[in-house]
Amino acid sequence: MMKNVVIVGAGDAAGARIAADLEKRNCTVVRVMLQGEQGVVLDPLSQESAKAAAEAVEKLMPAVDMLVVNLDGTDASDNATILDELDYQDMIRAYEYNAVGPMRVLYAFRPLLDRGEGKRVCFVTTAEGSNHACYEFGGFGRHMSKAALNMAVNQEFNGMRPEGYTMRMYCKDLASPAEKQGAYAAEYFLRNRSNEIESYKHSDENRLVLRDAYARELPW
Amino acid sequence: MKTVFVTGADRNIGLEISREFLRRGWFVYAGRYIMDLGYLDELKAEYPETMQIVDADVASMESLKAAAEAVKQTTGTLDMVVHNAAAFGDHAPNAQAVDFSRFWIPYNVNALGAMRLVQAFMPLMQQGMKRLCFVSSEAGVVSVAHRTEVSSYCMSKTALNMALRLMFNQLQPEGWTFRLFHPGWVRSAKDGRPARGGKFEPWEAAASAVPQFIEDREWEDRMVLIDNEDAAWPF
Repeated sequence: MMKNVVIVGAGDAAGARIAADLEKRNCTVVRVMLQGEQGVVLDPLSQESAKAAAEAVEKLMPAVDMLVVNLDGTDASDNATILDELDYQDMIRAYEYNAVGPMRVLYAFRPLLDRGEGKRVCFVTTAEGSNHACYEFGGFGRHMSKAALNMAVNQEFNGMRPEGYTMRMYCKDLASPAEKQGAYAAEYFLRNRSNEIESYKHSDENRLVLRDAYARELPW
Repeated sequence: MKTVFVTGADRNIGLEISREFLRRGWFVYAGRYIMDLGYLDELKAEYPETMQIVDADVASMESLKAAAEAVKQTTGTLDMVVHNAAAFGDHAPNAQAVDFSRFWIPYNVNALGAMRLVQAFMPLMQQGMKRLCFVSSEAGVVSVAHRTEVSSYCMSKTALNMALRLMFNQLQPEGWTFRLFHPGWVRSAKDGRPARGGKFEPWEAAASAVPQFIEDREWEDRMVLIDNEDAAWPF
């Protein structure tokens, strides 16, 4: 039962939609913002900030069933290619925010998740991290950081799944209007998937899958 | 005479790749990063006419532009670059305290370094083979990722493979060809330590890498990661 949920990155269109959809499904949701001064605020670039945010949430919700991590700190209009002048510092920042940031959040909230019964971690990302389905020329910071996130989450899945955790990776539909950002995510995050214990191959919970807003599996 | 520039040529695979090209009659511009290692000087003594040592730090665009300028002084055309330089980074055991502040370092060297190399040397390569070679790794393969702790090295190699996809999509139709090579588990000295573990010697990896880098393919419009035993990996 995914009763107590924390969403880190609840302020953008997708985060707000996911939080509202989870509440409609009777979850108690703590919203963690990435900027501003109201409520719990977390800076994905700072391990100390992530830890402080987790400590603040702990006072509101000591045991967390499901953690949703929704970080996207990149400029969607930056499509510079290898033939253009590239901002390498900005690409490092994108990596720190989109790939390392979610790891900072996961590690900070892990003690609260360990106390919860749901043991589920969900990441909101985009299809830009898929190497096999990449047809673009540019946007290096976005593509590379999100591909690296895919690797990081896979490695965490490998370590945490034997401990009873399940995970979700959800790709926002970048082409949809703001009011549709985050659609389907709550349904995807909350519903258990096939998990027959007698055969490890007969389970959709024993593999990590990148899935889009239309429930379609995407290649890595 | 064909010409190649190799990054991270100081030791390990980079040194042996340089040696293998020299044996095959290529002119090698060997990128030096570690100033207090003497292996490149020994190799230069063996091949004084066909090798030039060039200072090159792939973490710095200025350094690579200076390296390209140094190469340009002796050749009008460069046929090939090999991005071999790598930083190894940290592993983070699950559920234990970890310092993520150094995670960007392998990304900066392994992934962004490849992009800096291409940007710095493309002007010199317009008339040559136009071949871009990269030492990548199965460690960056998400589809069959098996490690159970988050690793800055693995993340950096995944990012590298993505950068290469974006470059490949744009440059391959314009005549550039790509090689992505996984050297296997090589006994490599790193971080000031001698080699520990590994299945292959650096010269063995180089002996399988260089033929892949040199030979033309009928399927240049496919980007495939191939290892030292000729097996292909997904991404």
